[in-house]
Amino acid sequence: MTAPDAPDAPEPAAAGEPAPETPAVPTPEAAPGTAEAEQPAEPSPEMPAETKPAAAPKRARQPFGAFLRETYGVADPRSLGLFRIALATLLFVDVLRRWPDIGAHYANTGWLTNHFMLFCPMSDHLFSLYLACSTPGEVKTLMLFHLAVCVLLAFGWHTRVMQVLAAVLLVSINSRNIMLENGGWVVLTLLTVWSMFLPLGKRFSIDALRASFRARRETTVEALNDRSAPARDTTPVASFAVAALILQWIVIYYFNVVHKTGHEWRDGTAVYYFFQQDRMVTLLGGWLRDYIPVAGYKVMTYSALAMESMIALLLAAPFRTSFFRMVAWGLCCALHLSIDAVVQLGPFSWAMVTMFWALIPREAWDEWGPKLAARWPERELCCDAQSGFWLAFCRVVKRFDVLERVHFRAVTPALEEEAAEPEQGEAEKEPARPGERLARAVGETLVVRDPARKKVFRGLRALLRLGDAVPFGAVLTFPARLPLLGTAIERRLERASAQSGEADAYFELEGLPGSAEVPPAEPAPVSLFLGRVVAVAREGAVLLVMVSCASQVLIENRAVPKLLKVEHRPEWMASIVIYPRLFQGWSMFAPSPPSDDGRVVVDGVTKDGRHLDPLTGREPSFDVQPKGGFRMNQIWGDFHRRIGEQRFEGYLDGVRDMLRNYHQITHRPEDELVSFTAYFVSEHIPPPGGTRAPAARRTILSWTSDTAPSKQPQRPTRGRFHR
Amino acid sequence: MDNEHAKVRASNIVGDFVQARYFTADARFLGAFRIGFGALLTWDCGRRFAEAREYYSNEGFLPNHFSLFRPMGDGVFSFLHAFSSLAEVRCVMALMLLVFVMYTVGYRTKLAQVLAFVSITSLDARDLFVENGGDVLVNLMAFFTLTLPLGRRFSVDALLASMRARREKSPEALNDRSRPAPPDNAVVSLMVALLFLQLAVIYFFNAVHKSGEGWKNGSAIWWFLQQDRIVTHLGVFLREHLPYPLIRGSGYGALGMEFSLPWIILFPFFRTWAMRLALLLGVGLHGGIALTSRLGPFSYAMMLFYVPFLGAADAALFGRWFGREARRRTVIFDVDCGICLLICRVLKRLDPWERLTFVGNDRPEAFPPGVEPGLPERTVVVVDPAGKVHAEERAALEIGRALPFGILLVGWLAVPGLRELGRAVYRAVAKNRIAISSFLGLGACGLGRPGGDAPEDAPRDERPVSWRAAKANLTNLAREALVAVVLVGAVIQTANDNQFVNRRVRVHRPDWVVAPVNTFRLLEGWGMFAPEPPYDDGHVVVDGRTKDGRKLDPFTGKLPDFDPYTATGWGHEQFWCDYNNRIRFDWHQPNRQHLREYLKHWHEYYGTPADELVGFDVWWVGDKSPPPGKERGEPELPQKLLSFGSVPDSLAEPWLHPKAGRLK
Repeated sequence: MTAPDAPDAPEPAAAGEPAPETPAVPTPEAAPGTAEAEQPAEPSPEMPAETKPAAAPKRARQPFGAFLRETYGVADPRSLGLFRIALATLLFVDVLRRWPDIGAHYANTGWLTNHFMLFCPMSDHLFSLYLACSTPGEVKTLMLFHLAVCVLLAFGWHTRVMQVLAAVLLVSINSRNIMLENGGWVVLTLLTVWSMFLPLGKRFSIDALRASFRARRETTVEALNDRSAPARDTTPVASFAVAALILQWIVIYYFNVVHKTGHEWRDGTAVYYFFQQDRMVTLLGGWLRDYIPVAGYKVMTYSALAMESMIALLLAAPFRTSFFRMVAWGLCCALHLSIDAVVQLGPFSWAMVTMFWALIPREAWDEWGPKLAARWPERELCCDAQSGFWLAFCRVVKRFDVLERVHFRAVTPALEEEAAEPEQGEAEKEPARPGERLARAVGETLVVRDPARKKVFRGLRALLRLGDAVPFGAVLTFPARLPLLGTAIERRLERASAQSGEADAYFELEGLPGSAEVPPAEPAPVSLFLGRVVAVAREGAVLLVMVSCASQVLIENRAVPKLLKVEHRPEWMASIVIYPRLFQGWSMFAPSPPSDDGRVVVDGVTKDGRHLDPLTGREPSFDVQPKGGFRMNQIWGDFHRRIGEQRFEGYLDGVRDMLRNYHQITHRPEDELVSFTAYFVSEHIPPPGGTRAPAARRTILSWTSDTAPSKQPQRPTRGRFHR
Repeated sequence: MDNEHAKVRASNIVGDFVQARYFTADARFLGAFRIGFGALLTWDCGRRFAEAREYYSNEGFLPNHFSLFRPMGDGVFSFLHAFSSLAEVRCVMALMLLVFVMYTVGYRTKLAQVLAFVSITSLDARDLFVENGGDVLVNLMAFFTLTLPLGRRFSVDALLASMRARREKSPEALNDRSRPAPPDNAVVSLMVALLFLQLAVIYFFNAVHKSGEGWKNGSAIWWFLQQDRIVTHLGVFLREHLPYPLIRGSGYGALGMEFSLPWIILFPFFRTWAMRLALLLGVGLHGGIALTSRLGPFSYAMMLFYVPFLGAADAALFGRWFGREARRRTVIFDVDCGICLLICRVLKRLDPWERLTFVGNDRPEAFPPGVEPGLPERTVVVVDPAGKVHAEERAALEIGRALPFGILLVGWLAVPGLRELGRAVYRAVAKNRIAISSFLGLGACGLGRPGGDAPEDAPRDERPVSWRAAKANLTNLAREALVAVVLVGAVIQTANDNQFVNRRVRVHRPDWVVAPVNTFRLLEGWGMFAPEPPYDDGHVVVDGRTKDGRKLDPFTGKLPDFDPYTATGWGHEQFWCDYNNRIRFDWHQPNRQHLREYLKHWHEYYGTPADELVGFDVWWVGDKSPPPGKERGEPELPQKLLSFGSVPDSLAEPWLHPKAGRLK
């Protein structure tokens, strides 16, 4: 849906015709002349019936509802477009980082086969498409599809479909092995699921580009220079999903603060313990922990608590929301990016930061957009207005030129005969005038003028200079910088100019120049009606998920008073929460940070008598405080932490099989193990300045080749028959 | 246009002669095939949906984890393995049904083709207990037709493309049948040749593998009809009433048809008549099998396999029937009514033999004689060749009579009672046609839709050099290269799977052949009822004791019956029949635990609490089929498959000791 920047007053409806759908009535909250008044919230289909802009008298009767909607339920489509790109990038990276660990954690070559996960699921209501895949090859095929979906979501191609597919595949990959699940996975899932209800493809997407091409088919240079149509969509998006996102982030920060009641948080040493987690600490964190004084840890601890509290408050603030939310984003970046620099928590930090892209207020766009545009160079694209090919080229440029820095100029190309050398004996002609030179150049290749410097660029350089005027133009014109491709493009440009008729015929564009513009059809009443029905259904679905998640918040968080605890809830509500893993227990490093640390060490003996730890590929090391940490990623970190726990004892058979088959995974027959013992090696972290106790060692698994090796994975002795 | 290019390329390689005979299909019959095959897929999915609990959910005979833990085939892959509970399975099956319906009607056909292929192979691979040759054949047909343009004709896609190509605004434009021009009907592809070969291969290997005594002495059909698991009531009737020489003759006839069909299908001369003969024989053979036995989708799929091979001459035959003068009708409609115009535009596209002539109600001088001047203002009017005037729902019925298969859509209007209902609906719509037109954005009272009243598009000329042609060339090249790879793979797989070849030549299957064949169950071993027909028969009997002490076989709802003789056949449908037949084998011993679990919980699914089984034995009860001339076979000793609880008064006891005289 697009809307003009300043809509005209609606014409009176003719008798028998349906009344206009969007009365441009200024609201009491948004005085005429303000941005809100100019851009009333979109009427349909993106808006639920409950939140439609109503006639003024009705609005006056429901000021609080309108206030809530404006404050917590509205997002700018440009912000949503950027949010989509950021989210898709994050999803892409999240999938890609799992690629090296497919063999160990996601396929039947690893410790958790799909049949065992289905036989003895780690959770009720478990669903994962990845469970259909057994071999690494099958998993990789599905993962490639998953990656492709992320890329298409980033580009905004069939965005709605991609949003749903991305959510389903994200839930699937997380549910394939939920022992590795951490808060970051849950937050990323929440972000993806809530945003699934939002129209993320309205701006900065292929969908928007195609809609724009359909909305207006410019046939003259004047039409190209008319930037009022097709209008770029700036109509605010009103949805419960926006409120859900904001509320979700408030809940996360609120409970993370109130649950941090341990003495380490009170005495300011919590961050110290955090740094001592060798499973998670990064190289930078491992280096820093040796130099940070206790006072430094205290400052960090208290400031982390303060920032978490502040972010929750700023997000909840009902006034000056634009400013406060951007401040909250700044605090969020400071908090989470610094956390991510020193420890690996999976996608948690990035997901927390990414949400705020959706909250960039329209004021920021309105204020910074023109300022940004003023700093961008201007260009004049000289084209043959009688050539369909060049008109089509200009139409594409116009769509990418969101800052409107490119001006289109019609130039009639000079014919070759006109530009021919004078014949012998003929009097030398006067030097060509600038207009003639330009006309000749347009007849030869692409021509772009820089009006500020009064310079004319031709061919490939013109294309590159044109890219300067367009946001991300350098990326778009990057192929032209490549040696061979650049030459090919240059030749194509020359050919298209010199033989424009041929180019027009090839692209079937002869009819474009000067033909009558056909205004796009107004949406039929039935389309509007169906749009409204879909919008109401969608918002109803959001409300349903919100209610289900609210029940989960009450169940999972200790800080919720007993009075409010939900004892029984319907099964469907549990299904809505658990199938997509929308958990709501928020107590990261709470009430206290972990005061112990450890990992699994396998002391294996190979066929040729060497000692080998298959989990590291090196000799077993029982060192629990290595300089720089254990250097393992989040997935392996969570594996080491949890596989030794009693609740996962039933899955140790799978670990044993994986270790036995280690040589097959690495394709190194000499590494075949004839016996091994797996230990959970842990240490208690002493308070700052305290002395370390010796590491504790607990055997969790052992095997020797004499003990009846079996070629097939063994059925578990425990576990329940999943019905 | 792309076909033109494909033709030129193929001509250079194999010549016009071969191309016309083996590489060319008619888009109209590809469309007809799509509709038939889509209906088959929909039916197949529907019957699986009905039995989802038993065969596809963890409440049934094969839970997903066990199917993955102990797969019945190498490299088995099915998306249905990701779904455990009945509700989950039903949800995904409902989505698959939607895909098959999309495929049938030809909506987003290419996407539907891919999704239908993934869906049907997933349905098959989820439970290999119930896989038979028909399922494999359906997989192969879905796979081999992936690259063919099944949606070019008789599809929603084609209809929408045609509607976009020309937006008629007047009766004159509706009567101008030159535009939009119908798409090119000739489809030239290596895949067509592959389809020919596939059909020939199926018959050839099925014939040469039938080397047993039963086929040699002609008794095979007799034994086939004695299979109480699969025989239909008609089959039972035939085995009781047909004289044995006739049965023998049909045995030889079936074998003869299987031997001769490959040669007829590949015969290079008189192609039209050769294919008609093949179709006749094929329909006779498989229609006979379908009428006398329950073999799942095999017979229907085989009959559908012939449809893509029909050509322009066969289409002309249809044209002779559907294009009769008696089917001509003149349709007088309200030109100011948007929805009327839209319906006429659709009718124009459904009328390939141009039997309808459209007249606007604003031109009384063009009305055929006998039409009252005021009548077309109130209703659509149809005038038949005899000059009879029809209005309202009768007009709709007449239009249906003029269109090919149109009577299937509107035939109900001829039924008394329904006719009155149709008339009431028609009047309601006619009365509100202007409002409906406005609501649908179609324009009304001669006014077009605001903003969208563009003039009719000019016809687009076909150009040999354009980006469209370049794109089509590139796509065709990539597609044909892919088909060539598939052809090589299919040949290797066929050589590997069939004894007739692999006992002469050992073929090594490379991984790139093995992986897709296993994943999508694209097997090529053809030996149905070969080398011998089955000489014995049996089924599963549950000797169960309920909580209240009754004897009950939950699969029949009656007393357990250990007598393998039945005068009417057991009436098993294909899934139950295949499951029965396979669970008895020792290889499936580990799978029997799930049958036990199912029976323990049976009362929760279908019975009452009183039906809970506190003890049961599951037996395989079979007999040797009676030889020709005899009515009863020789019972075999029942074979106990599994037990639960105690069944002290087993009804199998007399059958275990028949010589002791305990058997009545």
